[in-house]
Amino acid sequence: MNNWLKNLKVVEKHRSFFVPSIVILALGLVFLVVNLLMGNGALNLGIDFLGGSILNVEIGPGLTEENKDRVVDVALEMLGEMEVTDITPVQFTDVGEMNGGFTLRYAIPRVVENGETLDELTVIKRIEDHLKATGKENEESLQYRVLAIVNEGLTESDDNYSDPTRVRVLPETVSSLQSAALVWGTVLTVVVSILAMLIYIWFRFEIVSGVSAVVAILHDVLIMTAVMAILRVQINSNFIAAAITIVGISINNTIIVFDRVRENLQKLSLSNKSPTFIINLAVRETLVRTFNTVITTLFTVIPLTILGGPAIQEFSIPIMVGLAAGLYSSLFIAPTGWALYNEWKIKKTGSSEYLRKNKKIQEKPAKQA
Amino acid sequence: MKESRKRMSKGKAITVLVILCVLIAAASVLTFLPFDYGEDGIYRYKSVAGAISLGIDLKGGVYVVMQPDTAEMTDEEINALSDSTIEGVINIIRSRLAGKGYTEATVVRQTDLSGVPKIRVEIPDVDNPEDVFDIIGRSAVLEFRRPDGTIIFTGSGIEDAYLASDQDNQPAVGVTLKSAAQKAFAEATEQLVGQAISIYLDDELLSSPNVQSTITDKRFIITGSASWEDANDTAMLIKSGSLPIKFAQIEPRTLSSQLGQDAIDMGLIAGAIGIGLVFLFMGIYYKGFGLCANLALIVFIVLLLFLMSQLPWVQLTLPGIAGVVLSIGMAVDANVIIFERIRDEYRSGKTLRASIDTGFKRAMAAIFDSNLTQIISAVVLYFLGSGAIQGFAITVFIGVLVSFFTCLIVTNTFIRLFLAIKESGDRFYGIKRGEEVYE
Repeated sequence: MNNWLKNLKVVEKHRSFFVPSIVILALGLVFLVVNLLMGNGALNLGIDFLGGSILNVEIGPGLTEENKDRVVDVALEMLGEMEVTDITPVQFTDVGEMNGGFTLRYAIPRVVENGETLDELTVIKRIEDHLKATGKENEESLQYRVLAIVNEGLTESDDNYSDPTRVRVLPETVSSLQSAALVWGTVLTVVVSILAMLIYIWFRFEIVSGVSAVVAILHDVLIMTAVMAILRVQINSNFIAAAITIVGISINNTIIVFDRVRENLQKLSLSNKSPTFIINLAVRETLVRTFNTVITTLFTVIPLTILGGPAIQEFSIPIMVGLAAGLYSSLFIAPTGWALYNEWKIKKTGSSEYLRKNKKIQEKPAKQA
Repeated sequence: MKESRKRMSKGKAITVLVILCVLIAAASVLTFLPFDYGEDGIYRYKSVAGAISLGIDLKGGVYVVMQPDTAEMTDEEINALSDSTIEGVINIIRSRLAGKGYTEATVVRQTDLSGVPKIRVEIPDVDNPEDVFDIIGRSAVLEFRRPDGTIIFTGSGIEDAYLASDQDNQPAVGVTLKSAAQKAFAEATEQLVGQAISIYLDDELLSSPNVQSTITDKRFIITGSASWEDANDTAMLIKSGSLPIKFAQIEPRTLSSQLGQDAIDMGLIAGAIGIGLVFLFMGIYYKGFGLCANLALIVFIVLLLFLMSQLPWVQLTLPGIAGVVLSIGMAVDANVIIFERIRDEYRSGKTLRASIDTGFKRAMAAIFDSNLTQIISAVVLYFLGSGAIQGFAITVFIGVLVSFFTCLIVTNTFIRLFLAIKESGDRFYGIKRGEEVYE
């Protein structure tokens, strides 16, 4: 480890370190474009982004695990009869146990009929009409059919047996207009927050560090998106939560490295070294910390992913991808960018932003400790 | 290096350490373990973690976005929809919901790109959604009218309305007027002694009390309510008065929980496993220092959960869980940064005590900058973001503040105590001398 550490030269080897990132980003782009051209949508967007209708089937106590699959199928069949599943497949989520029963969630993102997209209110209206028309007592109704399956696991003497309220069918809508506004509003908000962080870093370090940090953030979020595009993992609003978490972790990692740079530059023995030397040293010095922090964060995220269920996985899986990207960018992308820029600037003009800032600090009368 | 701190005796340090550990253990029990108490266990202590209120995405409920009716408004009027108007509406809706017992409702201004301010209302745990839409949606014009139908004053003249009692200790509605309405009301009551003044809400007769005497004071009561409950309802309606603007598009949605109870339970188990792994790692990698970090981490988690359960505007949502993951990461990171610095200093030949002093000082610049950056980001996200993002921002904000406090004070305190008990020991502290690796 120590030998490898001593010889780690992130700046000199930047070409080979940039390769994996570029490959993943390029692959992601290919998948985006191909899927877009094939009409699948660039990303596998979920109902939070597209808008649509949701049918929740809440089932009270009594349903056995074996019968659950049949209930799932009955509800799907029903949606087929209602002609609301033409184009997009229904996205099914087993929300899991609630109040001793189960909740099944069917998301219907977009319905195309005779070449026209039905808006979510029309779709929900159809579902509601169907539910009203069939009624709870009708043998054709969804409630009745689901209840019949649930009751197979019970005898008539069971307390729950004849209670029809054990099956509730609740339709919801997600307005596509509203979700679009929400998504763009959120993107704008995150951009503003990144700018605010950039200004702070500019003030506390210098502008090149700030820009490098922003590049690292973009790298991490883009890699996350690329991996989602390649694997066609469905993206819902929880992905946004994952993305802003990664923005936070990424900026934190980068600041730690640049803090070392800032500190090292103030040491007399190092102040005349090249940017490449300064960066290699800072990366090596912070390497153990960065690894340990990423590992401990993974310790909290991995169990959440394994045990947390579909809703939590929607953000915990992207966070794991982002963590890996963030580890990589804070070691190999942001510091290297800083070094390459400053090497170029010094070669061209003889000075650079960090040198000027440093000079200013050194010219200040030293404070008495 | 200054050695200003007076060194603690070993015995005293052990005593303090034991007391602190007992306190932390007690706080952890109160935080995580629910129990029954009282005769035959009639009371239930929900535990601090159990008292954290869950957001609408975890619990299910009703969600409404209200948009002002701008169809008949000029651009100027739209621009004049000042913050105070919207704030006023938010307060009215809040008090209406609170009056109906929905105290966990979230009523906030929602900003988006259209420029028209909107109001988002989220109410967890609703049995009868229609009932709720009715309360919030009502634009409700409140009027006090003479018998001939002319208006004395409207809802804007009311300062406050509350549940009161008359001289016979019967339920009544107390009203406080603003000075403008006070004058008009004094004139009217002078003319109308013995007659009725009617109170209308959206042209619906709410109450029609008889004037018993001229009222010149700004406070008065309306007697004759059928019950205490009735009087309270009337007071609430009078107080919440009228919304100053009409709302065009009210888009109600019923939401079911995205996460079943078993998923929440599994999430908690997953969290416990995760934290356990972190403890294990820190203990193995940083030895004695890791132990300090683990104690500080327990304090961090207890404080974080305590604040989340006590602060009224904090609800745990799915993005909030992501925020908790980030702030735990930040808290662990702060400790890792400090210990790595201490190791560096010790490696270069300083004494352990000097290494700790310098290590802390050096680490502080990095920790301060990274934490403050997170705070800045959280504040921006809170003030510009929508509901889900705000849930994230709040947990990060609280988490980072608490983490800064725990690494600065708690980790430091434990290290000092350990040091007083065990002055040195490369193995115990997981440190070693050596040439500087990096040069």
